[in-house]
Amino acid sequence: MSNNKIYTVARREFLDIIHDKSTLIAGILFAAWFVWLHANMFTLREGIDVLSVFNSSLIYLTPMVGAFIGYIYSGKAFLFEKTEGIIETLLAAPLNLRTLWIGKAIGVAFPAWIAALLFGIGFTVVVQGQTEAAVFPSGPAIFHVLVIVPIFAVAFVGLIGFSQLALGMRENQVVNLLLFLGLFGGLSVSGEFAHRGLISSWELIALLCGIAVAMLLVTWCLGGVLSKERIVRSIQ
Amino acid sequence: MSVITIEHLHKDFGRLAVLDDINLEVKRGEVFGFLGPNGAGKTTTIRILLGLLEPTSGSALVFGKRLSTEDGLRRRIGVLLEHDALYKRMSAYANLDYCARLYDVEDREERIAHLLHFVDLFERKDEPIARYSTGMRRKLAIARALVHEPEILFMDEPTSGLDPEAQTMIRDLISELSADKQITVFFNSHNLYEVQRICTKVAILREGRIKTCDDLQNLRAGGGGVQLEVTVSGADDAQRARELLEGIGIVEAVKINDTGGGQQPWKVHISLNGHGNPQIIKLLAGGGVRIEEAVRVTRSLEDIYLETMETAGEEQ
Repeated sequence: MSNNKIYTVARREFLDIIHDKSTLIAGILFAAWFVWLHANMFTLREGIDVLSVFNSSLIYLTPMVGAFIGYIYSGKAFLFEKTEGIIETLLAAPLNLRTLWIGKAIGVAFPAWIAALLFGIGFTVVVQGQTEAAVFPSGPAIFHVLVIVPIFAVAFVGLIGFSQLALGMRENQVVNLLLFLGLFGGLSVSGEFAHRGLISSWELIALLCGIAVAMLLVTWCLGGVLSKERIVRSIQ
Repeated sequence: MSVITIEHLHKDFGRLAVLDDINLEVKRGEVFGFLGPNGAGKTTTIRILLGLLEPTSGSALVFGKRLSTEDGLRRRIGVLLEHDALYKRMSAYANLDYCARLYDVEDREERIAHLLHFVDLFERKDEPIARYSTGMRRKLAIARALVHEPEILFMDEPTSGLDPEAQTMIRDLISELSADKQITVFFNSHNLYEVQRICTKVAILREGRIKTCDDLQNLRAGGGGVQLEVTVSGADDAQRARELLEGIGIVEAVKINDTGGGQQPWKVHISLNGHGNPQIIKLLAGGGVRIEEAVRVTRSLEDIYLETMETAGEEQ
């Protein structure tokens, strides 16, 4: 597997997303809407521990924002290339299937992570404005956003990519619908955790890091299941 | 030297046999036309050759190896499948650059500029290809397939959906590639006219089986021999011609057609198993046959195709 090829594939996916205004705007609007939605609770709820809720919001919500935006962006990289027949030509190139898949996952996860980062920054600025307090992310929260969220985003997009490449069009429609509902459910649950100001310690970060790495490993192992024949036969 | 060898290739999708004992060889520099109706198995064959599908049994080798296990060999082949496989938001240059990077092309800029000139798109290289016509995109897709200077080009219905002008343009490009650059072309199509224009060898596939496979010239000449159509003045001349030709080694068959319902002209169809037209004509003229016209008959690919399909249908 060549790092150079992963970079080439990832770069193309990234450039494709940032050149597609509608996709890019959808991601930014979603991040902005999420900032507005969750920052409001600081003015609506009284007697909350601002710092605790703020940090737990960053920890619980940023991966969900990254995942949701990754989900929005991933269709272009995987499913679209299948419906347009591009994937078949790519599979005939001197390119390992795993290289192609991981490259695409990174290329999509990177802008999704940027959006999650923008959400974190926007959230910090708005919360500071609303509470008129000098609220800054804790060490675990910063580590989480900078290290764990991108790992999580790559693993999540990789899993979506796996299902979009391996499954047929009809199965993918069902999976996409379930995923959409699951993500909305996940966002609500994360929001609830965040609002309660649940622990945001290094121990939690270590746990989340373990989950993200495990997801990445699962994604990596699924690469062994994916075959060119499976992808090509699911095109028809 | 064969660059593509398929031996006893079978492919089943579940209980459905898609390919059944396919055997063929393509030599270096040939433009090989793979013909057949929709669903005959042409695309499946190309996919197996490209290593995108695994054969159920038999082998499909390119340069003597299976592409599915030899990623390095892929640098020696170019692919243009039914879809353009281009990114519409990207410019022509960016599309070629991406492909060149995937194939580790050295001197990318120079190579891309050369190809864009070759397909006559250099002036519009920075435009997003969403603004291109279908024909221009197809030309760019050919350039993409050639970016790494492949030795074999696999093409699956390359002119499908194009207008006649664009089809001619693409055909000329393929002919140029074969003639000037000695690229072997494996060409899937059901456009008979197109195949007749550019291919040197043809295989006709029906329901997963090869029904005919030969050099196009041989096929058109009547399966390795020569067909002569001699128009004579009357029934007695036709009869005399038959008598003279019977027992001659190179004559395979003689058939007399009364095309005018007992009236002139009478046509004598002669099948030869080699070249010998002047001797035959001399023999007939010397034997007192009044010859009005003698024509060497070549069949069109359409005749061959329809005949093959008809024969295959009768066999079933």
